[in-house]
Order: sequence, then structure tokens, then C-alpha cells
Amino acid sequence: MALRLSTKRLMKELKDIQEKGTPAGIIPLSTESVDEWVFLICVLGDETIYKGEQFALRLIFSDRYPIDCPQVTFIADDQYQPPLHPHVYSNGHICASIFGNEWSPVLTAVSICITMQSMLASNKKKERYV
Amino acid sequence: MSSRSGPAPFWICHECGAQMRPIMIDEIPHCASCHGEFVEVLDQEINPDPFHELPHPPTRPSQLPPRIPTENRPPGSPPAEPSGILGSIFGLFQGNPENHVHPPALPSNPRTVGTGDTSTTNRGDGTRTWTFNIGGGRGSVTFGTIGGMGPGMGMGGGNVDDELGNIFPGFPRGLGGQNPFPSIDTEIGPNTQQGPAMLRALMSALMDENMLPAHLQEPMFLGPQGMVNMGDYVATEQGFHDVLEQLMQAASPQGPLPATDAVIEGLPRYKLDEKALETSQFKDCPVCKDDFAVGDEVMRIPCKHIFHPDCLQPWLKVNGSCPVCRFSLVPDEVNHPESSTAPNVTQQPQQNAGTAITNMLNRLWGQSGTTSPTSPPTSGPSRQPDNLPNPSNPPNISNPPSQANPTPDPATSNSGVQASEQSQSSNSSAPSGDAGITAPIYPTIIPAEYLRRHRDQERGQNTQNSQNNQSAGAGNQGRDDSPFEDDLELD
Repeated sequence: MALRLSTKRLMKELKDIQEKGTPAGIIPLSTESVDEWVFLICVLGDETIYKGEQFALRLIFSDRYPIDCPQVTFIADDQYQPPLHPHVYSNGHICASIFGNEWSPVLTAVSICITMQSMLASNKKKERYV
Repeated sequence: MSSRSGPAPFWICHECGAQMRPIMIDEIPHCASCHGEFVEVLDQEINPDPFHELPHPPTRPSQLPPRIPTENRPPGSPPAEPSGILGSIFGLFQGNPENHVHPPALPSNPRTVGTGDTSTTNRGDGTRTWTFNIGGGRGSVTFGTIGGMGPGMGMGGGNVDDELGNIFPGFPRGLGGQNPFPSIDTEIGPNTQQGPAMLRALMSALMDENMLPAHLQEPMFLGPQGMVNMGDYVATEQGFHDVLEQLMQAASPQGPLPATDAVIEGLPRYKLDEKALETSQFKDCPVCKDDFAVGDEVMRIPCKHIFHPDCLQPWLKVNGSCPVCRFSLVPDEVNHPESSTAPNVTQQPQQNAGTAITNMLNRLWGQSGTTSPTSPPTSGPSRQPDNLPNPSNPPNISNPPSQANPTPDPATSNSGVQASEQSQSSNSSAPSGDAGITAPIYPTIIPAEYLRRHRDQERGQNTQNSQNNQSAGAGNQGRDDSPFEDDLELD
């Protein structure tokens, strides 16, 4: 293979995003880098406790993507704060099975964003682990 | 931490040991890892002590050597039925003195007391024969000398000799003591230190024989400090390694293991032709997301999903499951190694327990020929069935029909192994008539009664929760008769 699987796969995903766009509430913020992408995540609708909030999800891809799971965190800086959620630590780290045992190479950057969006959407209480 | 204001508490699955947040199926919490129903919330407020009813944290049935249920035992009372030889030994120390030891008041009348397994025989000459059942064997030790010339046992260590004299009143040395039978668990005075010392000697001998494994199943050990769970201790290197292995298994990711090369090599490969590509419902490789093209070589997993070999193989070497549907390519026994390997580890010491105990007793109580001449402990073969008539073995001596032992009938003594484990129960609670007839039911899984109570408790909790938490359903009430024990048929 001339091109590494990770690069090839990311190029393919990027092309898909550019051609087909992303689902509502998920906005690619920076996808220029080969190994680090940032998406803005909003939970749409009136029912959510995160109404009007925006969170920045950073994905860092290793050489072994998609065999290995990317490193996924919410950005915690002056501009963005991670969501208040029982599975999200104040430093932006996320406790989710798909980032551990249940990672599968079938998952993509966009599907990760959708998962995070629905994780927030299903939350009813703004609680934080630590 | 509170479940009301804090995050949702973790739950523990008593079937797979995982700590997780359960998934609700029909409003019943199921383990998120193994989907077992026997889960319990880990929350200080709701459930301060999740294990309070179980003598040990539960393990998989395959890891459980036979164990006597100890629940419903009033706190502080001696263990209901310490099993096996250790129970017999402890019974001698802690038990009812009348049941085991007789003041040598009837010098001309050989007496035997005991309920079939542990018994002491006073002979007129001041010797004392202690018989016991070990696993499948029987042994006996004679204390004192023929002719009452004082302590003539060939003892390995002198201090043990001294203690013996104090512990066994039939032993000539101990006759002067006002309380020749110190009760170890209640009296912790300076003058009763011999008891623990004796126990220590016994325990160290047991360790020397490499027969006190990590899974020492004596439910409770009555030490000077009170109740000590012996299961918390390991005495051998093997036991230590067992514990380490368990810890590592618990700590490692619970996901599927990599598929072996043989399995990967064995997956069918073929080239996609036009027809195959058209009829296939999978148009692209799920890993690289490239569309399949005519002429592409693909690998197929038994679940029918197809991949480029270069895409699939690296994944299977990390995780032996289908990326799309998680169909596992790792055989179950590899996924759950404890079910296949544990019996070898845990049962081996048990099988040897009889021999080891015999050896240990030999060392403790002398190899130098003062053990009972009619039944040297070494002659008690650990696998010899108890019901074989063996004239040299003491059952005939120790079970005269005139004695209190209600089960002298040889036909019932074929449950001798089990009866031996029940001996202490005849002391404490069970009517002695049951001892030889009813074999105890070893709980190879978590006791059904506990399950039932647990479920009832859970239901109560659910109704409680439903007032504060909409997601917790109160729909369990209809399942009163659900035979959830069946769910515990573990893999």
C-alpha cells in the first residue's frame, strides 16, 4: 500500500464530509491536519439541557487508525468548556465504551461525533463526575 | 457520594464480577457486561454492604470448591459447619468439650464419643485415640503411651508437645489444668495462649504441606482477634499466584481477545467477481470504507461480513471479533479462561488434601511409632472409600451401636465423606440424626435463597427509586415467581 491505511481512511472520511456534509449539530471546525480534527457539537431541539451550548470535540488519530481508537476529548480552554455530564470529566476526558473495549474500525469521526451528540442529548441532569 | 445528588452509582455483577452501570431490560437491571441479572447497586446509602449475606465475595461456580453455607449464622457464634479435616481439628479446639473429650474417669471402660467422623477414644491405659475423616480417608492418632507412662508421643517439636498436653486433657500432662480445654474464641487470656499457639503450629504444618490454597474454604477461622475470614489470606506461593491472576484478569480489559493466527488463516478468502459484487449487500469495506471492486480479494467472517484482507487482519490481531457485528472469533473457553483452567488449579490441592493432612499429622504427632499401631495414619489412603470394611480402621471402634451416634448402620456410612464435613453441625444446630444421612448440599452457585432475597430487595429499591428517578421502573412487581436461578447457569 502506497498510502497508510490511516491516511487513506481519513482522506476518504474528509472527502465524504466535504461532499455530503455532516449531520445537523455537528460542524467540522478544523480538519486540515492529518491527525487532529475538531468538531463543534450542539444538541438541537428544545428538550435538551444543553440548549444553546456548543462544545468542541477534538479527535487525535494515531497511525493505527482505524484499528486503534482515536483519542477523543472535549476541549477545555478559555474558549470552550466541556459539557457538564456524568461521563465527561472537567478536563474534557470522556468515559465511553466505544473509546475502550467497544471501539470498532467501522466507526468514523462523524459517527463518533454523533455518538457524543446523542450522549449529551439523552442526559437529563447536569452532573459531573469530578 | 449520594445517588441522588451525585452521578449514578456503579453496580456490581455477581455473575461476572464486572462493575458497571446496568442496562435495563424490561425494567430489570442487567449486567452491562455479561447481561446477567444478578447485579447489585454499589451505593453506600442504598446498599451499605453488598456482600453482607455472603460468606465470601462470589466467584464463578467453577472456581468454587465445595463449600458449606454459613449464612443465617448468628454473628459471633462459631461456624456452623467447618468442613473437612480442619473443621474436625477446629472442632477439637473450640467445640463442645463433652462431645469430644472425656475426663479419663473411666479407666477400665474404653469409650468413644463422636458423631461419626471425629471421635476420641479413651482407653483404660490413658491413651487417647483421635480418629478423623479426611476427604475420602480415615486416620487416627493415639496420644499418650500404652500403659499410661506419661507423654510418650514422638513429637516433632517440643513446644507442640507441651501445648498438646494442655489442650487435650486426656493427655496425661494436661490433667492438672483447671480449664484443660481453652475456648479459643472467647478466652483471650494469658493462660490460654497455648490454644492459638497450637493452631499456629497446625497452620504452619498445613502450609508446609502446601495444602492451604488461596481458596481455603474454611468459612471462618477463629483467631484470637475474633472472626477472621481465612479466605482473605493466602498461605502458599501458588495461592498468591492465583490471587494475582485473578486480580489481573479483573483489571484487564474485558473485551474479546485477539483471534489466533490459525483462526485468521482459516477464514475463507475469495476474489469478488461481477456477480458476487452485485449480489453482495456489502458494497464497501467497513474498515477502509473503500468500495469493493471486481477482482478485489476479500476475507469473510462466519457472520458473512466481508473485508479486504489487509484491512481485517490487523484488526483481528487486536480484537477477534467482527468489526461490524462483533461476532466473536475467539472460542468461549479462551474468552473465559477461568472456566477451563480453574478446576485444575483449585481441585488439585483438594484431591491431595487427604494425603497432605495425613502427612502433616504424621509430622506433627510423631513418626516415631507412637501413633496408633492398629491404624497408622499413613495407612489411611486418601481415596479409599469410607464404606469399605476395614478392620484396621477405627470406625468400628468409634461407632459402637450403644453410643449416641445414631448412624452406626454401615449402609449410611457411605456418605462418610459428607458426614465428616457435617460433624460440627451435630454439635451446634442440626439434630445429630441428620448427620450421617443427609449429605449437605454444596452451593456450587450463589444460594437460591440469597438470590430471592436479593431480588426482593432490589424490587423494594426500584419502587423507591421510581419516586425520584423516572428512568427506574417500578415494573418488577409482576415477576415474583420468576425462576431467576435458571439465569445463573453460567457459561
